[in-house]
Amino acid sequence: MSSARLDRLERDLRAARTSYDRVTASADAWQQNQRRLAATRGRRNRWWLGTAAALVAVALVGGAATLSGRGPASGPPAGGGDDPFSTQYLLGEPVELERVTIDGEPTVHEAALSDMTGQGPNLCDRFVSASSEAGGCTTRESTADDPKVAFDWLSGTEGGGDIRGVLAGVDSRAAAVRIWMSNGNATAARLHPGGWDGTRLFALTVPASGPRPQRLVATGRDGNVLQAVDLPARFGDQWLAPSSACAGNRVAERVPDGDVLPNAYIALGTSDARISIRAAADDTTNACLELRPTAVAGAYVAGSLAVIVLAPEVERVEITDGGTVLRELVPTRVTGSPWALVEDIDKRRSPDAEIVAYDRHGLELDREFMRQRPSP
Amino acid sequence: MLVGEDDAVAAGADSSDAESTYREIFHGHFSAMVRLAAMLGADDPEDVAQEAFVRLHGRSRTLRDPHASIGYLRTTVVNLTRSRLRHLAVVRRQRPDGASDVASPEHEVVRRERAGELTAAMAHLSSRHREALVLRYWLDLTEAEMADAMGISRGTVKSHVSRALDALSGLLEET
Repeated sequence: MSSARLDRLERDLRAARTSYDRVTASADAWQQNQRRLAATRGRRNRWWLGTAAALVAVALVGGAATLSGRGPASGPPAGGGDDPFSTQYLLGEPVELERVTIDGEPTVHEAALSDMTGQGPNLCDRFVSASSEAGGCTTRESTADDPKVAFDWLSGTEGGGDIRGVLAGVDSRAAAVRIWMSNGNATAARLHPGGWDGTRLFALTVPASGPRPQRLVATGRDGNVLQAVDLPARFGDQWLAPSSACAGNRVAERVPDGDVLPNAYIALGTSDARISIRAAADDTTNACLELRPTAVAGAYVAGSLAVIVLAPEVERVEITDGGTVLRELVPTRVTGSPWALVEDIDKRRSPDAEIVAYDRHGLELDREFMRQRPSP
Repeated sequence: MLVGEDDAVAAGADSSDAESTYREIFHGHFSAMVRLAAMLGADDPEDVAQEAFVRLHGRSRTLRDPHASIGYLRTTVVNLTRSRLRHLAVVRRQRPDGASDVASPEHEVVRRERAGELTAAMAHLSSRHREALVLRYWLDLTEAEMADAMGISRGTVKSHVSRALDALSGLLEET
């Protein structure tokens, strides 16, 4: 727009303000206001009571994050067109989590903790661009008070299929969150103060056509894993572009490399793994392993041979038998996926041998018996 | 700690002061908030302003600072109007055919004037664009005040205004 045209437009705009001079208020506006205040007093009292109950619960447990006296998380705020970002409902200042491009438009993604019903905080977010705005609210996890749970709020956005976005709030113990993508890359989430009870918020929104968030790992100040969440398990298989290695669609592979199992070929999908062991030129054993969302995602055990698929937060594995540690192994990352592998050959193992997975801090994450699997 | 009579009297005095402050703010700014809601395109500007004041009444800490109170009222009016416009949009989509907005003869007369053209074009802007222009040119707010009222960062205020002017200019060209 030319400068002259802009000047004229601005001048005309200012002049048009007078069109609203005739807008006036009712003569009895004050009386109407007093009647409204009387009608809404009951609702507000309930809100204050809800807040007071939460504060008492905090005091009783010595200021810890556990609000044992809290009721169940509230449902999404019922509407009537009410705005969860309205100042009255906010428990903390809205924070800008990220800037993304959606439908070609620069878009700001904001979030805030909001309590519209007096039943507890919801994590509400909104995507705001120059021409549109969309958002929603997520209730607090019903298990949020469990010490094993760090992700107190968690939701996913699919945005019409074009994007994948994860939005979460972690409790005050979480010092960092690592977001593992489906291609094996990892990024540290930017945590923003949520303004309530030490909660911190983060989001990651990406185009659905690229690598998608697959696993979230929250760690404490010492680097210990507080909680890991497998997003396809949480949001459904379609969260990732599903790929079955057993059906011939791998996302990553570990080719024979002369290490522990030089004749093993391992293909990884998003939810399974295909393991091929070649004993001789015409003798190959194939097995299909379904992967679970746990730290020990799956284990293939045949005789003295074992292939173990592990979640990315696992830093060390012990093979134990009857309380004795037979081996201590470090997982190998598989390029192109978040999974890691451990391979082992050991004739000493009994049927009672166990896989024990640890984080970097030495905290036990998971354990599983090394049961023999029949060849398919 | 027990609360003595003196504390109770002080609390009562605080409450009385807050009511007095609230009354002053209401009489001093209610009309302005009705006007702001109208400028933003609210279907019932007075209802929006009433609701904003009811919400202010529940915030005694905000009430202690008259400047903060006005800012709070403005933000609330902006948010409420935006929410209601979204609701209206949904309602309009669900309305049967033949119920489109028909301009009255009186409205047509106003449209012939430049101011009328502008206000009509403003009605077709997105909520964010309209907010940016109303707060900037009709309320003469600073960038900081606009950022607070719109719930955006100060750094993006200028770009909102710029894009809104472009959009408005485009709409005026079409008419």
